[in-house]
Amino acid sequence: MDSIIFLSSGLFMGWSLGANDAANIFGTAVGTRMVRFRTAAAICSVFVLIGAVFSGTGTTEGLGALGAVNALPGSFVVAFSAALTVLWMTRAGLPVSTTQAIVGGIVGWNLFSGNPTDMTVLSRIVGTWIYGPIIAAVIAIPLYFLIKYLIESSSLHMIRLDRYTRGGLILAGAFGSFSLGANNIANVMGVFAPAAPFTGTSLFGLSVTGTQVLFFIGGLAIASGVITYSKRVMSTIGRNLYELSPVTAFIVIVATALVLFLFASEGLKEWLTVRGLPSFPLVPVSQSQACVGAVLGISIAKGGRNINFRLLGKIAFGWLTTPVIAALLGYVLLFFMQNVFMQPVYQ
Amino acid sequence: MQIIDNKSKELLSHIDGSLNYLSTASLHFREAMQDYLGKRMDKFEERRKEVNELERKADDMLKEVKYELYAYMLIPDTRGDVYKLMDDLDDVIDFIKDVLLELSIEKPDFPDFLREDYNRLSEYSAKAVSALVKAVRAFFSQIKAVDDQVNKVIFYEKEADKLEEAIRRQIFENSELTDLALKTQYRRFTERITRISDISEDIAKNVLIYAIKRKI
Repeated sequence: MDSIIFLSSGLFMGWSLGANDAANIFGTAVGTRMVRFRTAAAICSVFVLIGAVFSGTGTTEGLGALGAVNALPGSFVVAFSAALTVLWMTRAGLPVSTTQAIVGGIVGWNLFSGNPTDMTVLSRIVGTWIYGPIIAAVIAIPLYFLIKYLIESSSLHMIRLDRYTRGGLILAGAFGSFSLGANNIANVMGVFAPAAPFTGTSLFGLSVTGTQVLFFIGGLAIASGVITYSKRVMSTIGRNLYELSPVTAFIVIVATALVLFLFASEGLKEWLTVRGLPSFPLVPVSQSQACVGAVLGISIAKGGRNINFRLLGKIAFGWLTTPVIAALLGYVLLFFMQNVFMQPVYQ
Repeated sequence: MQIIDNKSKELLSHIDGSLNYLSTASLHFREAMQDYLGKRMDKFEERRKEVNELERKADDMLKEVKYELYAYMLIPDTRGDVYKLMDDLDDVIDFIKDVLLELSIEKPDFPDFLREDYNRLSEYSAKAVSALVKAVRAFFSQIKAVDDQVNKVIFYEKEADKLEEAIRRQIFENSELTDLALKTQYRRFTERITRISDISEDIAKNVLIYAIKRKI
């Protein structure tokens, strides 16, 4: 029973990730009515779950290397402080990244427990906050020109293009959801992994590990956020930083999903390593940041006009403050958990 | 997906159908004007009826297009522009029908020295409509070709404008024409025929803007 209570903050985190990040995937498609919300929510929920359960381990290990929170009450506080930061920032109208919030929370736990923060791991994760959006932009720019060339040279009728775009948005949305589940499940359930109470079992006829059961529960939490709250966020997305057409929205989704996939795929990492090629660290990447990077890439490809620099500044401010707030909040709440509620927050 | 596919095909065929009707109507208009100026009234009336029939069919089809655009939720990002465009194209065919009807009712007896000019004026207007239809087709499927076709519409409109001025001057400067009522009637028909190319040009300029918006 205690486990369920302590997991609740992770579930809350999962719910808010589902509510916010699903909008980054299907926001423009639903907002412009290219895809119905029901279809988007169903696809997103299913693929987030698949990504989380079958491809979420790599990033969790990456996050665990930053600080293996080894007591459930500690995990609860870390996830809770991150979720609370996300909630506050969202309410303040600031774009927020769950990745940064959870990293801030873990660093707060490290400071409180006296566990040294591995600066190599931290810089590797923080590095993705810089080159994640850059990679997304670098993918989005050639993709934009390629699709532009294909559309212009194919003499495709507007109505047919509309049909293909819908299909493309659904496929890209499924890939985006899979990547989100694979990469960001670590933000939701990663801190619970070292102290998780689950053991291996059989799920829908498949044998899964205890961590995968934990991820399945986290995936369900994300799906619940998608189904219950993302519609509101979707209806406002895509019109803020840069107005996207359905075709450019498709490019943004693919570029964002690829970034998340690159930093989550163990198979790809292994493939690259075997061939002696530089590989991507398996760490959770902020989907919001990758999305902003891809949108900026599109606007640069279109000549760099009409970018809302004020909003861009606001986003950058949010990126700086999120981990700091989460770390401070985590530190304070850990103190309360240990000294007021008398729960061990670390071993 | 199959349902969307069928709806897409339906809308695509209705848009194409509407454009075909407009294109055919402009050809009939050209022929009708030649018949009228050649005083072949039976043939003129046949052409006029053809245009009436095309206008009715185009009207029905445009209604379908407008309905399908919203009911099937297709092309959500450009549907407003397409709706306005189809609505405007409806005005062109309506106007062609009206000009022919007025000729049929009023039967102005154009003086011989103006007949060739009226013939050319109607040719410019018909060509402007033809180029407009091509511009619209390009807007739907070959965005790069829009500029060329719009330029053609603008060219024919300018030519029609110049000829209109020349005809009006002749009407009011020619000493053979003394009846002010007839002069006014001729002037009005000159303006009406030219107006077809004017409307085409207005729509073509809008198409240019829609095309810019459509570029990804």
